[in-house]
Amino acid sequence: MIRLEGIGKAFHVGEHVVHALADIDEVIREGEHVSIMGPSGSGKSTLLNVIGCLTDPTSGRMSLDDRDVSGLDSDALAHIRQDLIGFVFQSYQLISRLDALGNVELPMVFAGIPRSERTERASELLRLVGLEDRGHHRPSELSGGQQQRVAIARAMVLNPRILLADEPTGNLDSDSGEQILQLLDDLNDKGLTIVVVTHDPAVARRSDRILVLRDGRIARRVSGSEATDLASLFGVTET
Amino acid sequence: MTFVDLMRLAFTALIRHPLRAGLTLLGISVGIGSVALLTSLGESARVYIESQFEFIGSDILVILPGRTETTGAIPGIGGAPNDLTLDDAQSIQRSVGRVQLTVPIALGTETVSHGERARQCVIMSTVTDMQDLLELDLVSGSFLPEGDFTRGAPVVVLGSKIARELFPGTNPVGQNARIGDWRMRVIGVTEVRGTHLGVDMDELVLIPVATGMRMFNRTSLTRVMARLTPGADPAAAEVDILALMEDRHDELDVTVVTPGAILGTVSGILDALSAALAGIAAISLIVAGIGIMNVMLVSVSERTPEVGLLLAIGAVRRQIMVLFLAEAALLSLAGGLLGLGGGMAIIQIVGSLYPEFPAATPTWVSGASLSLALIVGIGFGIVPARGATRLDPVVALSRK
Repeated sequence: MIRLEGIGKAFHVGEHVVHALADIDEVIREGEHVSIMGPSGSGKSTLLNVIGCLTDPTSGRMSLDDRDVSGLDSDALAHIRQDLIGFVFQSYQLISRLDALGNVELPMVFAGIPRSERTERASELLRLVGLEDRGHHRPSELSGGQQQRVAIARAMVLNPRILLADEPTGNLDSDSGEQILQLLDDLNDKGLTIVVVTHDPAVARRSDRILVLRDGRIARRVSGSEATDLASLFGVTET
Repeated sequence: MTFVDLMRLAFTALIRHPLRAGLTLLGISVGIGSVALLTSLGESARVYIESQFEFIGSDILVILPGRTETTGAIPGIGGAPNDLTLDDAQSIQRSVGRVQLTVPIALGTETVSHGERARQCVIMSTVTDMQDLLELDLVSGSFLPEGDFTRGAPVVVLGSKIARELFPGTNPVGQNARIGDWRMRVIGVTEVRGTHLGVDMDELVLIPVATGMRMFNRTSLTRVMARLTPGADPAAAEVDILALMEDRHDELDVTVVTPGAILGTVSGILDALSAALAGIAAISLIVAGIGIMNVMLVSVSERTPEVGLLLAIGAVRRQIMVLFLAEAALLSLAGGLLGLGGGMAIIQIVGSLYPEFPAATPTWVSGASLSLALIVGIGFGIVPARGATRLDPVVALSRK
């Protein structure tokens, strides 16, 4: 599903070159649930952005769903994101002037899906995340957990093959976080490939595999059950 | 993304900051309102002037004594080497095939009085055919008598206003009036006619041309008006008249003008004036355009994370550009409609204050104003919209 070969990403900071990612080789299979952990600045989010086609790697090749996406222009990458990828962000990134239905419909608006179909599909997704009665509520009228569920509904509305989540429970209390993780588990059970960036071993523990990054490289590959053992590495405790 | 989706997204973005959007809208409405108002006034002035010329007719030539080359002055003003005489007028009518009739005119000013009432008037000395030429109707009596140009009778036809002022409450026909030292018999009164080419037709005092030449001790006519035979080419008639006059005077010392030529010149001046006024109004539009650009730059800056999100969910950069341009276009179009409405309202007020002035907003002005509003909105919206499309999605998403 996701194949990374020698992926590197360098940034120019003044006269210096910072290597955020170096020599990343990894294959994430269809239906896998993978967590990316590592200390701050280790390149977790950069790797997620590369996989999500939001930023180009400076070296290496990447293929998604057997499609080589290396060197594609911005429009082609936008279509790849539309076809294959759903994003969930720590800060939800909902548009405050649109209600929950409007936010969930948004990807379909840009994909050119007719309005009647959009409303039906968005309502279906809100039902899936348990917010069927909150469709006309603005983000400011929803709790953090509800906002993140709207964001997951939005990410799922175009039937992506891959869900990329950057600290999806980072802003939530433990109960809300648990609901979100359960939702992700359910989606994974239905065959969705999920890649989650997290500091939280409790989140990582639910995944099949954990990639531990350090200084832009994959330092360890462990199973989800070993997440707790990693907590001490990053100075975090399980929530 | 459908047009309805685009408008909905643009509208919801704009109404998030009603004061900011309202002030920008006001700016563009002032600019568009100025353009619409000044262009409409210019166009109305053209219609007004054209209507003033209409009653003369396009088949009329005016022959004036003198030429710029011979007098050094504008024709008809100042001296001329040779007089333009009654014989000249009759000769043109007789000899130039393209001319149906000629009407000689000598103008002067004199005091017209009846009893204790007196006032200074423009005296037009002319002939019977002038009634036909100016399409003058009479409320009572008859017009100047037909006959030889050179035989002047002591009779006068009064304009309706003069008749009313000098003979209040009575019919002046058959009564006497004095023009200077001359005692004249009033033989007719014209109908109310209004002002044409700056001359109040109701204040005219008409007397036979021969009488006028003697009264003002003149040897030269002020002008000769010539009506062409139906279908005659004015340019060819002009050549014929000039050739005849050169033959009679041994030099070319008259000027022939057509109402069409005068109208063309006046229209040219009006066009230039309208363009200049519209240009001045356009400056306010540029200021309004800069306002739109400023608002859109702020909007893009504030909504950077939103742009990042749209890119993440699969929007292409062209869609982002269209989205921001739609906001600018919506803002400017709304301002344009408001400005046009304001401009039209002022035109209506001008029309009601000056009923004789045909104040109106032509359809093309409305269309052009709204098009201009759109052009300004989109033109000044391009820079901010392009800025939005160039945002890096990762950087945009991380912006607070």
